[in-house]
Amino acid sequence: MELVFNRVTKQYKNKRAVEQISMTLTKGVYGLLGANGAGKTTLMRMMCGVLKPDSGEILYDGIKVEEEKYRDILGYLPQEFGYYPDFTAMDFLMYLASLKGIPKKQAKERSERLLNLVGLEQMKGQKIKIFSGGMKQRLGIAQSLLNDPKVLVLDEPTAGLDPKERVKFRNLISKLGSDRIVILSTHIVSDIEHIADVILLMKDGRMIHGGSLEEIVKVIEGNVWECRVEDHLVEKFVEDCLVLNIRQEKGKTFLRLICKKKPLETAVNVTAALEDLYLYYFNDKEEIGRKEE
Amino acid sequence: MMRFSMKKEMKQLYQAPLPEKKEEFLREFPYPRAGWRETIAVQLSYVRKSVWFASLLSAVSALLLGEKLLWDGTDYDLLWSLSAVMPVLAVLVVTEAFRSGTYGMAELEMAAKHNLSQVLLIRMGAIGTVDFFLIIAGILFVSQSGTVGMLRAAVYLLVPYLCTCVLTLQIEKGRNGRETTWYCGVCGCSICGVSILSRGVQEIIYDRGKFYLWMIVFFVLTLFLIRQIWQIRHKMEEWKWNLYSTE
Repeated sequence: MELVFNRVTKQYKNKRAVEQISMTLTKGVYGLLGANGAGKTTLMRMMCGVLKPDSGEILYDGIKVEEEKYRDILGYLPQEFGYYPDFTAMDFLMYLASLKGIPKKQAKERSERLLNLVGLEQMKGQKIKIFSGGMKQRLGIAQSLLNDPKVLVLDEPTAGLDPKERVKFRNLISKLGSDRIVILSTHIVSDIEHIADVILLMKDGRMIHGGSLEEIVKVIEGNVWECRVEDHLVEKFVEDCLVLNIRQEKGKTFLRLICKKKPLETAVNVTAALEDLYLYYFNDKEEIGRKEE
Repeated sequence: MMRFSMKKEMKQLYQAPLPEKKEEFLREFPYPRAGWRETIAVQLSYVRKSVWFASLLSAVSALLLGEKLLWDGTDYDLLWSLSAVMPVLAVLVVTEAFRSGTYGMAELEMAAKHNLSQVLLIRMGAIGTVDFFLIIAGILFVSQSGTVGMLRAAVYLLVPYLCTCVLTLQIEKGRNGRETTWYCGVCGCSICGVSILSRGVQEIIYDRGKFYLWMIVFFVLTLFLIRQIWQIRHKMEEWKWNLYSTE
């Protein structure tokens, strides 16, 4: 089971959305992390055969992603999706099951099971137009699992879910990742931190970093500090370091920052987290943070 | 054959192990996929009943109006009323087929086994077939009225139909969202309006000597339509509503 990206590039008019991406994905959960406009959605759309790359190719076990054979084993949750106005939750799943080639009897069984799984069993006969954002999202997750896909692509799957639903979703994804390729993108760093076996960082259409959480945070390991400073000194630290967190604490200002050197005698070196790395790469002041390197 | 009593004894002696990885094992077997016939039937069931009803109603009312006018008006009135209703049929087929783009289902449908291009062609094919029979009926009525022959009747009726199809498909190609239905509606009404307004000049428009011009337009429109259908099948990414995708 291998999803191979071979120098995949996509350009929209003046902007290169995805540039020369080459990688191989095998079984497991992959978290795609990047700021808005990094190219995540474009990459995911190409992975699903929705968009064609301008150059390069994506192959699943030698099968091109444009082929019907590939779509047969694909589950996809787009970032945004609509529904026909007259559809109930059950109609929606039955309709998509028919497009996935699932016979009616199996489709009904699966739809009911999945509605149960995402906690919408009570709403199966209700029109989708009365659903909340979170309910629609859960319905979207359910449809992506209809054909028991070998490749599951989820674009912002946790958007609109409340914390309880997010935990439930994370558990579901972790279970699914054991025997298939799951790739998901999100802005919620903690989701990726909890579920992804491999974290992929995208910036300006390029894959800038990839690996397990432990591997990728190595870049800033040893450079993350916490300290409490007098209020009038804060400006200096904001100028010299990359400040990750700032808050008032016991009459002083608490700072969490990235600095190559110990910024203050009383500063404590702390374990780097994924959020620190995200801010390191995607903060507007990243140049400042890295200028000391 | 194992004796029943022995089976019972063995059950008592050895506890059968609980099934392990049953789900994973079962997943190894591909589940039966629905065939083409089932897929087409399912798609047909999702075409709104109002579309079938509106198509039929438009064609029948145009026919009845034309028949009535034929008795008290000029020879071309049946042809006039039927050609005026052709854009309505065309708008119905295109907007219904392209509901996916209108309601934001396109991306989900593109990633499914039977993907959007197949869905579009099934929907267009199904409603188009019904329209085809309605148009054939219209051609027969017009030619039986003795105004024009079958070939001319076919061309006179198909030109407004094809023209609306080509223009509305072009709108669908370049636009996205619910307003597309309105644009298509306006396009259809405009062509319909031109047909209605032509009532006083039918003798000139349907003049036998100018029929070759109709034939040229007919062939040009047919070529455009074939090109658009080919694009739907093979170059879906060129359809703009599919590319509402800059992040």
